[in-house]
Amino acid sequence: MIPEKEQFEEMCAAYALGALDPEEQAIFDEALSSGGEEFNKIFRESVGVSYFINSGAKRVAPLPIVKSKLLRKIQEKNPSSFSPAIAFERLALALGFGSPRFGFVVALLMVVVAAEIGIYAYLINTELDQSELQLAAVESLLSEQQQRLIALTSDLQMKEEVLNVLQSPKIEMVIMNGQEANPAGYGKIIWDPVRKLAILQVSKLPAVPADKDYQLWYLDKQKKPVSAGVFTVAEQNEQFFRVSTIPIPDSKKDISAFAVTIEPKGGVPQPTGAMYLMGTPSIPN
Amino acid sequence: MLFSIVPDDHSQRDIALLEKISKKDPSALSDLYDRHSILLYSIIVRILKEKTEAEDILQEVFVNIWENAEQYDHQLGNPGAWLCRIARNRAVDRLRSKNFRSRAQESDIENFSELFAADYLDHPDQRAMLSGQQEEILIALTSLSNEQKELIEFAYFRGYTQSEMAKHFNLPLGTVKTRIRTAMSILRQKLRHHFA
Repeated sequence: MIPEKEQFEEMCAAYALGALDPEEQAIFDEALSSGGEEFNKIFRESVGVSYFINSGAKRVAPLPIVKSKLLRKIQEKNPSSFSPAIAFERLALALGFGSPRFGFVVALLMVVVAAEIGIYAYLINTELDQSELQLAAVESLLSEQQQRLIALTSDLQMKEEVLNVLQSPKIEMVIMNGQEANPAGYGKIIWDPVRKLAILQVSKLPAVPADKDYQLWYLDKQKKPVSAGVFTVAEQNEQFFRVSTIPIPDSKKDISAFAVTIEPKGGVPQPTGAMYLMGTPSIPN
Repeated sequence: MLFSIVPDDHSQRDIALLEKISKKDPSALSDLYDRHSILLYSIIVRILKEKTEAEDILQEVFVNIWENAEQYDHQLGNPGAWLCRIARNRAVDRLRSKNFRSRAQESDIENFSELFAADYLDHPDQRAMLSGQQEEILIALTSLSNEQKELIEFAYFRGYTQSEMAKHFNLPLGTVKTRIRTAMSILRQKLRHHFA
């Protein structure tokens, strides 16, 4: 049964406002489909009024992230239909571009970036401090190694010199023994009369005080002591080599003995201190 | 901020977008969202009075449009009205759900003039923000009696049927129907030139 126009207007008004009771819905649908242009016009106007009721409402804008989520949902449903432009728009919306929150988001990002820079600077500073400590340790180690290298180089050079002397076709050698002041002491003089190089080797001599030196002497044919130079020993039992152009005679025939005494720093013209080593050349018959 | 209603040429644009959406063009959905999301979101917020829920519903509305754009029939009104109906019905369905309704009833519901921005008409600076059409609509709305406004509010934004309103206001069902019909008739007459 088709309702009267007034009844249809009531149903249209209720329908447009979503207030139509369920039991009236079927009657309304039938009236709308068979009511002709007049009913259609009433329907369109009523629906239009409901739209205008919405239009008069206060507006509230959704957050940009809502659109971003929507596009993501749609993409999940139809992944093949999405373009890079839509993906970029989604990203921009997710970042808050184009919204009143943009300024806040930018400010927040700046705070986060500033905090990260601060933390990074602190970490860098801490790392720098640690690096400086490590560098100092490495420098100390390097210095130590350099000293060690210098010592080894010096030792190597000395041994090369010793080897060089020992390889000479003609060498002379005199053994010195420990004396009353230091019976355990031991010494050796080896020299190359051609090149006038000499090696002094001592062992188990006590370290000398800071104001003292050991002094090497040789006694000439008249048994007059002649200074052959001074040397120091820093540690007891140290094996000491000294290679130099010691002013000693070319042949041990001109030498009656070698001796080592302890003397004031820098040496003296004539021996004054205790004798630590002494030896005489063995003259072959 | 207020926006003007959608004129006819915009309806043509919306129809074109809906056709593209029915062919699964996401850029068309993006455009449609830009054109209507504020209005639809405002309706949903009006109904649910909670923005987080409203955001969920707004997404559901556009997902529904994405999946059912071909169901739009321009014989039944312009696309804007169709979209508003989908949004309103979704929001009312949520409002009627047991859990949500109890929460919504606890909230302090605004009065009619606040809901419709009619108070803008009393302030020259705010009134200047309204479009000519929107001002016209607000004037038309304020020409209704308080009883008529209240029924429209309960029907459209709170999801009451006429029978429920009759019970709620302790009025005869016929009185409710008459008031609503009269109110809608007044509005139709005042806004008729927009429907030509």
